Amino acid sequence: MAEVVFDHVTRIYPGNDKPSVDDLNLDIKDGEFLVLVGPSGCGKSTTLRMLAGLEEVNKGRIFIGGKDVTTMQPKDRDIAMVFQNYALYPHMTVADNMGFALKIAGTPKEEIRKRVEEAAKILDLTEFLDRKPKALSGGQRQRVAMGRAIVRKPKVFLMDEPLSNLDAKLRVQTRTQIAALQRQLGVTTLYVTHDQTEALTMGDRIAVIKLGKLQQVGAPTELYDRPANVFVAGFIGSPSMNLNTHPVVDGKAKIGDDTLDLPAEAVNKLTPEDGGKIVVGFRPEDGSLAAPDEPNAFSLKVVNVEDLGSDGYIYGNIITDGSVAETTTLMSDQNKLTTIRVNPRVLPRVGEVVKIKIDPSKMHLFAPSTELRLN
Amino acid sequence: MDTNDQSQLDPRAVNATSVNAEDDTEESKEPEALNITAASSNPKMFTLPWNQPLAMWPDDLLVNLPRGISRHVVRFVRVGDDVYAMKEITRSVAEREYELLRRLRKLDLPTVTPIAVVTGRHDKDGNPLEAMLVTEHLKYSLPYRALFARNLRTDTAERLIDALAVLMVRLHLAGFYWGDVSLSNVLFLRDADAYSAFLVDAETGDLHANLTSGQREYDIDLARTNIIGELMDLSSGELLPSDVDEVEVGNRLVDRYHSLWSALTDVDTFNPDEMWKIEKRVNKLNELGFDVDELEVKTAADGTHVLVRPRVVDAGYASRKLMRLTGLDVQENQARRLLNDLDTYRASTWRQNDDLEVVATDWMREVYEPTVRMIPPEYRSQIEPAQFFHEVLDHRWFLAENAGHDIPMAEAVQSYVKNVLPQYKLDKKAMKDINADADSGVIDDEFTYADDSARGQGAEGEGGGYNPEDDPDAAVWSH
Repeated sequence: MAEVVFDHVTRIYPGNDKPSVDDLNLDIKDGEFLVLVGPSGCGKSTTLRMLAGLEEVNKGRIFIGGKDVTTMQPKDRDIAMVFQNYALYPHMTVADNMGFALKIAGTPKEEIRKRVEEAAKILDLTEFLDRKPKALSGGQRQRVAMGRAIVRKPKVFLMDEPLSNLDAKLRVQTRTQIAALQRQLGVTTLYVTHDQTEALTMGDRIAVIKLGKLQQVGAPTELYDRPANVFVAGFIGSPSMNLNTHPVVDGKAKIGDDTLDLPAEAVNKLTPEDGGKIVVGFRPEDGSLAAPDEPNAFSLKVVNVEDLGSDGYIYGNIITDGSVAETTTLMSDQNKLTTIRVNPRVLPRVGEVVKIKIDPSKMHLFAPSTELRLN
Repeated sequence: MDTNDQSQLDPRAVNATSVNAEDDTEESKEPEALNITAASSNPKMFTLPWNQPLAMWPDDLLVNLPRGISRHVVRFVRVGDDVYAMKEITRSVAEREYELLRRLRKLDLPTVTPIAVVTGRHDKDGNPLEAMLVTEHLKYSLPYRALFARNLRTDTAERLIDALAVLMVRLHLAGFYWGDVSLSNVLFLRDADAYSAFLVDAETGDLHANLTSGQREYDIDLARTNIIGELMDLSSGELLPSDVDEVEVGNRLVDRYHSLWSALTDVDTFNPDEMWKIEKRVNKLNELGFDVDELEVKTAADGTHVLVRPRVVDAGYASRKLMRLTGLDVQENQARRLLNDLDTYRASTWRQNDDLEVVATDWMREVYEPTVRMIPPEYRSQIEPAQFFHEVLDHRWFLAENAGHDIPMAEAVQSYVKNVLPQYKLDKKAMKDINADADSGVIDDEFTYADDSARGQGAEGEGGGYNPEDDPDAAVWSH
């Protein structure tokens, strides 16, 4: 059993002035499934490779199970890179396919058989142990490959985009399998992905990283409900959060001719650097249609609607007064239009202007200058 | 593609391709319509049945060549005069691998040549199909399993390992971290008495300015494990000579790699009066098949020692020399053999004082070309001319030793064609077995494992057949 600790870890590639991973502090608890997520080039794979011993650490230290592994060779770290290599051998039985690496390592026969049988039980492959891969389905073949990593009983599993070479159908299926398997085995796992859906569905905790800097670490619901900054707010969740910058007038957000009440404790945290503005965020499911004269609501010009049967989506542009201060700066680049999830039976028509209100307890407020959370 | 240290990469690699692999996200969705990015202008590419899963492509398009074990569906397809290897994978992986292979080719490394990435495939009903990576089939090459099926020599495993060690060192020197070294991810070309290895699968690789020792050690350790596994598998299938010790062969890779790496990169220390040792070092590298492009020579701080280290080395010492003299583009050991024969020819015709270039032209006309013209047409796609020449020379020597006198070249060729060359043919059953083995590793294609004809027979006996109804994968994970 092993806890993993990144202690002020920095990686600067030769020839670069900016670190690819910058002063990273991160604990992965014993048995925990931690997902490291971020956009391309954010340093997530570099982080995993430093833990694997494939990348040098320029500053800081890495510990596995309390042991400093910063300069240790990969094979001495007792880690398994899962799914990097899992060709199945056609002439070997399922049992031999799973246990051959132990045989190479000189593990006694009885011990190999014991570990293979344990793994087969977890993977529901017991009845296939004496068969050859060609008698298996694709899913079973994949599980044999997982078995190969399991029988080694490593301290840590490392998975770098393990689903990227699977088609969409297999990806969803394998995602569930990996998560279930990890919980059964209780092996500390670092999982790297660019896909926030994978992160939300699989991880005990998620660490969001951007440009080499850790943004936030927390349980999926924590990140979803209380994103620490604008980046996390826009990155986690699909469809993504609506994020717009508005002027603050008399303690309220001014949106065109409308105003939105803001909690005083958030407004009080604004500084002169924020230029009298605030970033207001809300998730599509936290907005709803309001009556035409309802206070605390803003106007939206409907550009498109979608009826998915169970849900309806309204896509539109928030109507502002056109002043420079308010030319809504879209902080979320994932979705240029404001998205509202509503009952599909009450969808407005395209071109219509509707009033939208936000559940005040589900409003996310950020300072424009620091992009940090205010409420 | 990991671009963290791209600023340090060789500019040839940086400018190798317009393809830039992206993560599969909302903004970089698969194109709606068929999209082919190709490094070839073969117009026949556009006439292929891209709207069908690769496993269902009609037989008349396919070329029956032995395939290696792969997780994905792979087929050899005839496209005009060319034979291409097609691999069905996800778009991001296809683009990434295409990009990497383009870069490696620009660095003159021994890899297969990427031809195209095909994305935006849909079936007739408009359902999306996986992308395809298209590479050129490496002529005359074979996967390791096909070499063992012929069971030619007992030291085959060792010779393959030696070739793989050379390939790994060359890739590592160029900054390529492989991430999945195995015999399955390599193709082998005969190279005189040895083999040359070519990288075919770069799915897990990364190109860096320089590799860390961790990256190199990981590759070596994984290579060892995979090789031992692959040999154990051959042994289970009774395809490996019984006296081969799998673990020993695996360890040989580690030794070979390290000795070659240190020959190419270590710093030598001499006394200033031992400068002849520099030449010795360079000769040793030439013998290993490497040219020294740059040598760093400096005096140690105490002034009593000279430190020498090769800075830039290029593989292909003999093959470049042969290319200069004859225009022949052949493998390193073949080149060495041909150069030796050229030397013999020069001596036997008393022309030591003539320019080597002039002698080489005559040797081509009088010796090499008449010999390789005698390759029977049915073998022309199976044996490289230079390899044929090398093997005829060997055979001639063998005949001469038995007869106790010299044998004319024409007679040696005839005897070789009649007695030795037929071993090159892979019989139909061996080919079928190899390709069935290759398919039994596929994990992402229902057409492969739903085919009952390839299953349920053989060692598993009754109950071995796969019935999709009995495979409630989803249920397994619900408990």
